[in-house]
This record gives sequence, C-alpha cells and structure tokens, in this order.
Amino acid sequence: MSMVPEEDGRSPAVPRRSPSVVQMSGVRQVRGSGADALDVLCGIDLDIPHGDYVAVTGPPVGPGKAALSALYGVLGCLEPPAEGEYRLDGVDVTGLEDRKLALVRNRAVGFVFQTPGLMPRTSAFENVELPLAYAKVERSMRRRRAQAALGLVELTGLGENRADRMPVIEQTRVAIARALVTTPCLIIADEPTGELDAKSGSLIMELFDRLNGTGRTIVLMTRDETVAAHAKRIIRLSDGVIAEDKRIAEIDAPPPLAAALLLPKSEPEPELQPDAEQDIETDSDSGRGAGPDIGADMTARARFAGKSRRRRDARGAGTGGKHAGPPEPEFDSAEFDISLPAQLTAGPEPGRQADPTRTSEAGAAALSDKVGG
Amino acid sequence: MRIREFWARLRDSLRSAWRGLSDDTLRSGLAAAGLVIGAGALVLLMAVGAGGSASAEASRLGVGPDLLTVTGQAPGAPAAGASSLTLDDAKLLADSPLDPDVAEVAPVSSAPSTVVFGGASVPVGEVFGSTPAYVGMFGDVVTSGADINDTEYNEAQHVVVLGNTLANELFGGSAKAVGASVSLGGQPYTVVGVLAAKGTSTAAFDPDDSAIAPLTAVQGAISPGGPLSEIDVQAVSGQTTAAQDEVASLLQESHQVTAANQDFTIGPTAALVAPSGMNAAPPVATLAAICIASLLAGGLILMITMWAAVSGRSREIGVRRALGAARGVIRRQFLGEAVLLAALAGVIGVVAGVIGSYFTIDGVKPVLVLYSPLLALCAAAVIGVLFGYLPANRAARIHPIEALRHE
Repeated sequence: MSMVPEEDGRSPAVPRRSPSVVQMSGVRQVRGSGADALDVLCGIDLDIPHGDYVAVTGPPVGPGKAALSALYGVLGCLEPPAEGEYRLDGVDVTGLEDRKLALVRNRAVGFVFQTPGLMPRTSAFENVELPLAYAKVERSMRRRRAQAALGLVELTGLGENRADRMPVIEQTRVAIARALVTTPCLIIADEPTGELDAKSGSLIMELFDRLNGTGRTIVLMTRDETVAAHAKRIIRLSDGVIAEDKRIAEIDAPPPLAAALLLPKSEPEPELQPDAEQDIETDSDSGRGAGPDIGADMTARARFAGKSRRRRDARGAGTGGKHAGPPEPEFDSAEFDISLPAQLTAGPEPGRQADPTRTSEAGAAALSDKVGG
Repeated sequence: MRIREFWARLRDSLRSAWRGLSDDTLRSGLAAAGLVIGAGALVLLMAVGAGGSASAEASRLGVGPDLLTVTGQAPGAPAAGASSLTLDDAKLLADSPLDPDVAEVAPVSSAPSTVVFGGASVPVGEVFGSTPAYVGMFGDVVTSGADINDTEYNEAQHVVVLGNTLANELFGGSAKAVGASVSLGGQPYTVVGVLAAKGTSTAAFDPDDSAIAPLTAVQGAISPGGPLSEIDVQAVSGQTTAAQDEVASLLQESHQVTAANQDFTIGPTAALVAPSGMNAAPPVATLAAICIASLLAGGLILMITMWAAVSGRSREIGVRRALGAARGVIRRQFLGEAVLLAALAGVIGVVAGVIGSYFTIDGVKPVLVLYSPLLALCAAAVIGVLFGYLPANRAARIHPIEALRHE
C-alpha cells in the first residue's frame, strides 16, 4: 500500500475504515416505560472525526442531566439507542446484544470515570490489565502493555504498588492508563477532574491534551467550563438535542490550551529504533494469539501512527511534551505512539504487506465479523 | 497449552473472587457463618451418630441373638424367686457332647453389693461372679489392666474387674484403679482391670456400674455354694435356636422335668438386657438431613448478605461493565465469589467438625464418618451456587450508566 494522501492531507500507514470515530444519526433514547416514558435524547446527529477533542456539556440538573447520561451511555456503548443509528469506528453498534456490546466497549472505548474506580486491594498493574483480562489477553502480554500504558501516564515503576493506596491524582493516572491499555479508538472521560483539586485537575487535563496531541480521540463529558476549555470543540445539550456545536480549534491543530506544550523544541528527535516494527509484529502476533478480536486495537494503533506522523510534521521536531527524551528501558514504546511517534511514522514494510492477516484491516474485519455476525 | 490457559484463568478468577471477598472481611465472615456452622455440624453430628450407633452396635453384638440366658425360675415366675440352677448345670452344659451348638457357657452368680476404697463407699449395681469367658461373651473390653484369667478363677483369687463408672467414682480414672485394693462385700479384692465404658444402660441395669469377679471367689463370700443367678450360653453363630433346644433338653433331663413343668427359662439375652428403643442412636441419615437443613439456612444467610453487598458494589460493577464485562461475566464473578466463600466456609466447618469429633460428646465417642467432610464440602459448594445465583443475577442486571453516573 502506498502512502496516498487523503483529501484531508493525512497519510495513514494503513487505510482506515471510517473517517469518523463516532457517527450518530437520529439517535433517540427513552427512560422509563409506559406513561412515565421520557424522551431524554430526541434525535442526536453527531460526527466526531479521528483526532477530535470534544467536550459535551449540558444543564446540571433535571432532564438535561439525564440527557447527558443517556448520551454517555450510547457513546460508550453501555446501552444501545432506542432509535437511530450509531457507528463506532465504522462498526454499526445499534442493535447489538449485551455480549457484543461489551466486546465493543472493551476493544474500542476507553473509559475514564468520575472517580478513579480502581479495584480495591489490587496493584496498579492489575487494574490496568483488567480490560485485557476481559479481552482474554495472555498474562505476559498483559503485563507488557500495562507497563507501557503506565509509562504513558508517567507512572513507570509504580505498577506493583497498590493502586488504592496511591494519592488520588496517581489513582486517576492509573485509571487513564487503564483506559489506554486496549488502545481504543475513542476515550470517554466523565468529569475526569471531579474529585481532584485545581492543581491535580489541571495536571490531568494536561495529560488529556497530550493524549489528544498524539492523535487520540477524546470526548469529555463535563459541566466544568475550565475542563471544557481544553477541548477543540464544545457541544451543548439542551432538551435532548444538540443546542450548540462550537469548534474552538481545528482537528489538526493542537488542543487550545496545550499549544505551549507542543512548541517545537530544538533537541534532536530520538533515533528511530531499528526493532520498532519488529515489536509491533510481536505485539500483533500475541494479540491474535489471544483471539482474533483483539485486532481492533491494532487498527487504532496503526491509525495513530499516521496521525502522529502528521503531528510531528506540523510541529517540526517536537515530541510529546514531557515524554521527550530517550525511552526508559522497560517502556515498550513501540506499542504506543505517544512517546516516540517517530517510530511509527515509517512507511509500511513489505513484510507487513506480505501477511495480510497482520494488517489492521484484518483486525478491523475481525471486530466487524465478531460484532456484526 | 489449553489446560495451562484454563488454570491460569481459573487462578485469575479465584484471585479476583478472593479480592472481592477480602475487601469486606466482616461482611464475608457474616455471610459464611451459617455455612461454617452447618458444615461443622454435618461432620460432627454424623460422627456422633456413627459413634452412637457403633457403641449401640457393639453392645447389641455383645448381647446379640447368639447369646442365650438361662435363669433358674419357671417361665412367668418372678425373677426374685429361688433359682434352680447350680454350677453342676453349667458344667453339664459345658461338657456334654449333646449340645454341639453351644460354644461357651458362663455360670453367673450376681448380686448387688458395695465397694469400699479408702473410706469411700460406692454401691455396685451388680457384682457378677463368673468365669473368664464371661467378659468376652458380653462384648466387654478391658481398657486398663487385664481380664480375669483361668488361674485366678481356679484358685478363687480375690480379684475384680470394675465397670467404668465405678472405677471413675472410686479412683477418678481407670488407670489408677488397677492394682488397688478394695473391699467388696466385706472381702478384700484386688482390682486387676477396668472395663471400657459401654455408655448403654437400661432402667434396670447399667453395665458400667458393675463389677466382675471369679465365680469361685464370689460364691465363697457373697453366695457361698448357693444357686446360680443365671447361666449365659453363647451359641455357635447362627445356631441359636438349635442351641436353645439342646440346652433345654439337657437341663430337663438333669432336673427331671418336662417342657410343661420346667423350673428354668431360656431366652435370648438381648431381650432381657437391652429393651428395644432405649439408647438407640438416631440414624446417621436423619442427622445428615438435619444438618443439610441447617446448611440451607446458612445458604439463606449467604444469599441475603451477598444480595445486600451487590448494592454496595454497584459502582465496581459499573466500572467492570464499562471495561468490557458482559452481564454473564459479572454474574460469573459474583457466583464465583459465592462458591468460593461457601467452599471456604465448608473447609472451616469441616476442620472444626473433625476437631470436635475428637471429644466425647454426651457419653458418646464420635466416630468420624469418612465421607462426611466431602459431603459437607460438596453440600456447601452446591449451596453456594444455588444461593449465590440470585445475588449474582442481580449484580449482572445493575444498569452500568446508573451505577457510574449516580452521584
């Protein structure tokens, strides 16, 4: 496959199934039944492209709150919409039964909750590994990916610590690592700073900015204006419909409050590790070994590879904020593009093409088969 | 490979179930308490039941269908009347070739008496003067010291084997009694042995409250040259009826009576010594049923506690659902916790029951029924599944959005 630029100028390493992560049309949701039935979502049309950073806000009380919850539920595939169509990363998840919906949540959605929501008496590693355990990923692979994910949230080396004894800010970081570990195509953060003081809150928001800066698609469900200000796009719900959809910054631009972080730096960009591709191969091998459905995360990873390249081009030799510098020894950065985006920006190797099952298309098809069949 | 994967997954779920339980040990302890008691009771009561029926069995064996008692009164006459039996009758039964179905003969002369030791005086329900064969015939076991031997019998030595209760009352223990000198019916006797506790007694007779001495010695002091109270006859196994006929005809001939006017009575000893119904231990199956019922009550406690716990853990359930757990996964998680908790409760209960069965309870020495720990464990685990299902199902039905966004 050659790197043919798409109309928006991106050059993905692999073709993408859908230009948008979220495609909603005419989504309605009902609460209650019979005479008490209440329409909380009355026809939502929403398109969230890859790399977008969206804040969804609404009134804090009453039906508006229910609307926000309902949209959260539909977006996160926690429940199917009563009416309308919802495609997540091109996969129609509208009428899926519980088991398949759980599969989609596991592979394609990363959740950050209001509270860290970590499991008690459990190490940070095991918390981060939980989604992989549900995905039936084999143990050693789980640990590797959890290590990488913890590195992304600057908790390298703290994996063995008991998560529920960490400070709240670190717990929140663990929770974010848990959301990242399956490399989902959509991250939904529900009031992620709700339990944090102002300083911790801004640190966490900085982390989200960076994650978006390296191509991750993030939806913030929040009523906090200072949180919403981090997003590139603010959507306001009212009476069960989208009352306002305001773009603050372009999708390709850095997050509005993170521009300072992403300024070009004079340091040379880290050397491309020769075994980077090999690592990916190993990863996808093991991933497939654990079940064909795990391929979904590779779609996301490969997509972000292209994304990252573009980002790097845009800001010259800049690297991912605090993650600049040589990789830490145990950090398997090849699995995640945030730290060393350069690694994944090289064009596809012939070897990858030779084995079509290793491309992300196969993985994507596997997810489609799994949830569609 | 597949097996290793299975074990890895089993270990994972066990660990996560253990975490779920250990997160609130008080709650888990309460949930398990009923099952611990139920499982322990199952093991212990079955052991007591088995112990009870074992001793009942033993005493029944001792006075079993093969044992005949000949008394020296005409049929229907009061037992207190003068006896027509003599030591010669016993010798005739023992030596005659005409009663091949008679295995053992024990002439018995018995009377209530009093044992005195060191100033303490204890009434004895019955002192049996008999032959060395007597102890074995009745299934008695000498726990301390020795049985009366032939030399002691032939030489009419003043030796005595005490019943268990007697030994305890006089000496505070069977071991201390052996070798002691007591006064029996005014005569000095040396205690040579103590019988094992039988634990069975009837209104008329308590075998633990008796003493056995050589007939030769007893007849000299208590009933010198007098008639025998009874002659106990051990028939060849299964030949009781034949033995009874042979004994009857021999004694009729010797006493020169006929069946119509005979001056003695022959009957199975069991009917005389162990009236039916008394001391019968409840069957093991009945006890097991009672225990299963108490296990079910424990299951109910488990269910109620877990049901309440599900509400407290709704947030955790919401998080797990969001991270990719389908309803079935949540259900399995909670079921797993219930089963693990029930199994742990079963193990604790079984250990307690096994320990408890080492103690003598209400005069019964429990005998551990080998399959009872397994039965208790399986019953507890099955109850864990049955009673864990409802709470687990409730956990699976918790709505993730409400659980996650409830403030």
